[in-house]
Amino acid sequence: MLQELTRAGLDVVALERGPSLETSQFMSDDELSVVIRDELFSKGQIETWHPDASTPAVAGRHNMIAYCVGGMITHWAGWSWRFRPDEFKVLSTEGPVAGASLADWPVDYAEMEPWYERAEWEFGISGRGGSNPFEGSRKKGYPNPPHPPRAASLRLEDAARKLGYKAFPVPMAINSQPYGGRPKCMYGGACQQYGCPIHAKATTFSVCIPKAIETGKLDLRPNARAFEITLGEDGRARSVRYLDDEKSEQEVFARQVVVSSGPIGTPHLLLSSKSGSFPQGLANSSGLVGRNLMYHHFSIVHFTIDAPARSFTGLEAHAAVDDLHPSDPKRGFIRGGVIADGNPLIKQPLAYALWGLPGHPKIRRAWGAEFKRHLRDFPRTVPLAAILEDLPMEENRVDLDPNVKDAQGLPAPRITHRQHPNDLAMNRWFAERLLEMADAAGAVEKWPARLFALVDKSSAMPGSAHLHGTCRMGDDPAKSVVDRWCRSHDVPNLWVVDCSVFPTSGGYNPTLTLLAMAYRVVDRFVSEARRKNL
Amino acid sequence: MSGFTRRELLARAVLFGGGAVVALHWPRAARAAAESTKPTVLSAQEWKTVEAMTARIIPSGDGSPGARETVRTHTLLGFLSDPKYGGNRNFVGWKLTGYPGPRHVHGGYTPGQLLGKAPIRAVWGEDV
Repeated sequence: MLQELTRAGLDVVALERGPSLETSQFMSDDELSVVIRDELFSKGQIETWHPDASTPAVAGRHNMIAYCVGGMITHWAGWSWRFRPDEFKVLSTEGPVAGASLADWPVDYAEMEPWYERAEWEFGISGRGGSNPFEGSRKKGYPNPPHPPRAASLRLEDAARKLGYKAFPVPMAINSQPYGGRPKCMYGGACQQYGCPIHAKATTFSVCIPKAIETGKLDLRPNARAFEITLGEDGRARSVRYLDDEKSEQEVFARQVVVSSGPIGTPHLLLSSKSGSFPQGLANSSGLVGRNLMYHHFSIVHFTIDAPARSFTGLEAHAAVDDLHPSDPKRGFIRGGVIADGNPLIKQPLAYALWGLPGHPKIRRAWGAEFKRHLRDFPRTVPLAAILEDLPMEENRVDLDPNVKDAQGLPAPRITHRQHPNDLAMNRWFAERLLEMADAAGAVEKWPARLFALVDKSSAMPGSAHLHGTCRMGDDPAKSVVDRWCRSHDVPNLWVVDCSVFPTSGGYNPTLTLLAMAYRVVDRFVSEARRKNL
Repeated sequence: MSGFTRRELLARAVLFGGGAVVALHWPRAARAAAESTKPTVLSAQEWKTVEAMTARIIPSGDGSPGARETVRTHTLLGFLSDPKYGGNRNFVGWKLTGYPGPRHVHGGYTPGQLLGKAPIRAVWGEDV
């Protein structure tokens, strides 16, 4: 948004609650401070979580968030899929499902296709166009070729051949050759949860914000915590109030307000902005602000091989299989997801020991020599991860915690979340398929990694790195928060542009779809501004 | 009701949320362990004693992580973190796990190294 708004000559004030980070802060790849302590990206993060209203909410830092200029994409891994056509039309495709609030997106794949292309070329996606047989039609290939394979990804390709699946390179927003003024990847291995020290990884921080700054039209204010959007007597958003880095209250007045605080931060800000017209929170006449929070869920299996896997090198994932993704109700559940040789738990040894090994059948009580042997298996371990679509449920939501406050004295976001039974059935089924793939790949030992997987849990995960929902988009103001242009049904100069607007989650990482949506929406924004329609 | 037990939730909170609390204390513990000249591997009987003691100090049976789990987490943090924090002396943890150390600052990996066909020179000067 910032890149295109400033390019169009509009004056933009950007409020970011976190600091402005430098690439030098990303060079150390230090697992303890960045991943385990999470000191760099989410200082001050606090959320409460409970599975349902009858259980007390527990305070913690449950979700993978980044407070910094550039936002959560700064520490993403770069997986860049297009949604399949049916992923925009889940209600029409599947029909209603008990306990789920399925919906169609107000846009379809054909409308999104040119914006996917735009995002792929802006962000320099590497991949082989047309190599995923389940993708919708595309007019243009990727701007960069696929990355070289690693030993672990060849094992996945081998297993796919044996099982009759088609493996293909994971499309990645990481330069496989110099592109867009950014260098090619060094394959240092630290992507997910890390910032890229050389900007080989495409992010808003590396691609969009530098361009916006160059225009001279961006007034970027880091360490500015927005806490209220005020409403004028004309029913339009009038100003944004925020706390600066000295906790002084400031106010900035604007003709248009775009909220991009993520599926937790955005409903938190809207629900905190109460007025006479909106006693239940701004832009919330539908009562749906904060509702339909989605997490994705993940089946993850690790297996060892009798040779170096080199999983700790390269990208988070190199090869994927999408054959199990299309929905098939005969499996006992609807929807599905993509499988790849990636997850962050085995990129460095601490995460492997603390989070990757639990789930191993022998590790539960293992200390001493047995545990040591499994630690020694780290360089021979291959990850398999299925990224799975979860069904939206209205009772899964973000609201304001009545008891817990953050460091600035504002109510903590309270998350109510549990998985739908369809998610649990899907997760178990995919775990079985991943174990079969491990065998086909020549596994010596195999086990489900239990941190993100639901394999033997019956209910909820307290957190996610893939947040969606909470301000769903739709044509009907009674059933959605924003319209097909991400513009509030209630407040005409208020926009929400982040994964909050997703009506359903899809079985792919969400970011490329969000980027495509942002390019689509800002194009509309600018053309409407030029016609003086805003 | 949630099948996600309070024990698992708190274990996660330690890792994701309360990590800072653990981290405040681990370097001292790790250093003490590293500087100790006593054997670090206990006999079965000694281990039973440790378990009994830790279970008595902070039992883990009520669904929350007890002293045993906390000791385990602290030990791993000390054993596998960058030696600049005081543990993982002489890269002992990284040598065991075959992890050559952070790589961006050393120029990353080559395609041959990604494939396992070329050795990787670890930060302590040996190939893994």
